[in-house]
Amino acid sequence: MLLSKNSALESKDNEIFEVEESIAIQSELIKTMTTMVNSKAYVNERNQMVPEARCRKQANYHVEQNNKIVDEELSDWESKFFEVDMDDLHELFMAANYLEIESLLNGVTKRVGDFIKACKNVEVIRQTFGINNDFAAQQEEEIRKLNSWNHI
Amino acid sequence: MSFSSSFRKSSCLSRRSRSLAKTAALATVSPTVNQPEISSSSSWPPPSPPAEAEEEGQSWSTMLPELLGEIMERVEASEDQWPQRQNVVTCACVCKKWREAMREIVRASSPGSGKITFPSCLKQPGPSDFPNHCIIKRCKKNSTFYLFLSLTPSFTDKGKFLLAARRYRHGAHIEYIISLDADDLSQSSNAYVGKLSSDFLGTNFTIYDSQPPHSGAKPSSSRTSRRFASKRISPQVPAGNFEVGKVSYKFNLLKSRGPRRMVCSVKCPLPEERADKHLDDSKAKIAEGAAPGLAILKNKAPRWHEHLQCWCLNFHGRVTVASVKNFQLAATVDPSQPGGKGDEEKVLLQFGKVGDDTFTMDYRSPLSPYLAFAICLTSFGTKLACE
Repeated sequence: MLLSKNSALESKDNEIFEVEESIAIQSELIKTMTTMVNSKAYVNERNQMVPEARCRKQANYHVEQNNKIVDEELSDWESKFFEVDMDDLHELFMAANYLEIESLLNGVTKRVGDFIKACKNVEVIRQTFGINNDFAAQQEEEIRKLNSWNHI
Repeated sequence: MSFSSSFRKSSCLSRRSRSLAKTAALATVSPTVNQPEISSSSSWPPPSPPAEAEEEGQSWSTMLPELLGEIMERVEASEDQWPQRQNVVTCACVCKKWREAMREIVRASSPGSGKITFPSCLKQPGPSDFPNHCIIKRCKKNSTFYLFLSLTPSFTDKGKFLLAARRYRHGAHIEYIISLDADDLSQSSNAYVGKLSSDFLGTNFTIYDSQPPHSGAKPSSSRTSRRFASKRISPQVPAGNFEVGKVSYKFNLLKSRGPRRMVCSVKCPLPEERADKHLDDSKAKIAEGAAPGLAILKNKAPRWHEHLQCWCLNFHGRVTVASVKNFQLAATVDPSQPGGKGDEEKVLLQFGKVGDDTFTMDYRSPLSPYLAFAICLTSFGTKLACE
């Protein structure tokens, strides 16, 4: 006899997870589908990349831990969880957004925000996030002005 | 269904807008981005995403504005004060997308807060609830005045530099050129933001803005306006000077050493249009019968203190040296209030001496830091007619 209902979730790379329903519905997306279809829901992740499977596993794990441990341990656990490279962080962000997992999204945006603050200058931000300087020549002057304004 | 540009409180976007966002992401053809060189000597910053990620439209550099906004919002909200607010400006300097996202967030965040983020904020209204504290430093040697946003309560700490003004004499006529650049104080500079000019006696002043105060405003053709080669960034903005205020001083004829009377009429900036349509409309209401944004301010009359034998105003500790320059302005006409009626007890601008060459300037909405600074400068300019 099942003590709690389980949902079977299928990811893009055809892996099937079984997670407790109470955890699965932390994702607003899954929650909606579950109420629409049945307690056993198949979620087809068409647009996510292969490592999606790992992300979702981690997301669920994160939520599970959330329910169990005290604040101090939780924040330690969380900081370790988010110590990943920019690539993984990006995937976590997109996954959290797609699945609508608020707590995970909060954690990722905070981490990315901290990265930005630690960068201190524009060039380092561009390198970290792999972003090109696409300002037109006319705008460059304005950006130069902004940079000199930005000093105390 | 259009992409919503408003940034909502809840972190998760609605399903419909996100699924559209995802379709758009796939439809976008992302050009291959040249990867910048990464310093191999340090482990920071972490390696940037591989080039293959660009083709799917799934990387930081091709992230959609709505999603980018989630991150930007968090940075903006946590970096409230200078110097941390530098991080907000830094984000706006990264690339076009980041610039647009951050500017939108700053526009939408806490209306009425009067936070100073970008140079353009210097011509936006100050806070509604409590004044912003600033310091003005005078340098007599080069006739220059420097405005700083206070970062600590101390009068000796300068703070964040905002504007500088230099006094120039043209015969009997005096002008103060106001600039974003403390080292470049000329009308032809890119950093020029406006000027103050006074009559011979130093009793009537006109405040000019290098930018039009509202759409359709015409530049003034004052005697001293000169043609100059404008190296402006946006040629659509007309070059010239636009009159935005007048300040006049009258002297108390009954008591020869009595306090002078100040009257200012200024075109105050209306709050910028916000992305969130549900803004408090009473703030944007135009006072009936008055020009858009026009405010009329008068100085509060000090009380004669018989025991101390002097004129007194309560500056709440922000002014510590007696000086005829010290003043407090309250509005009789206030465009930011319903019906345009000013509250004569509410001090909108306070200015006063705290050291030999150090003055405090506390201002609030509907005045902008630029207007407040210009009005304070007039107090220095009336030396000729004092006592």
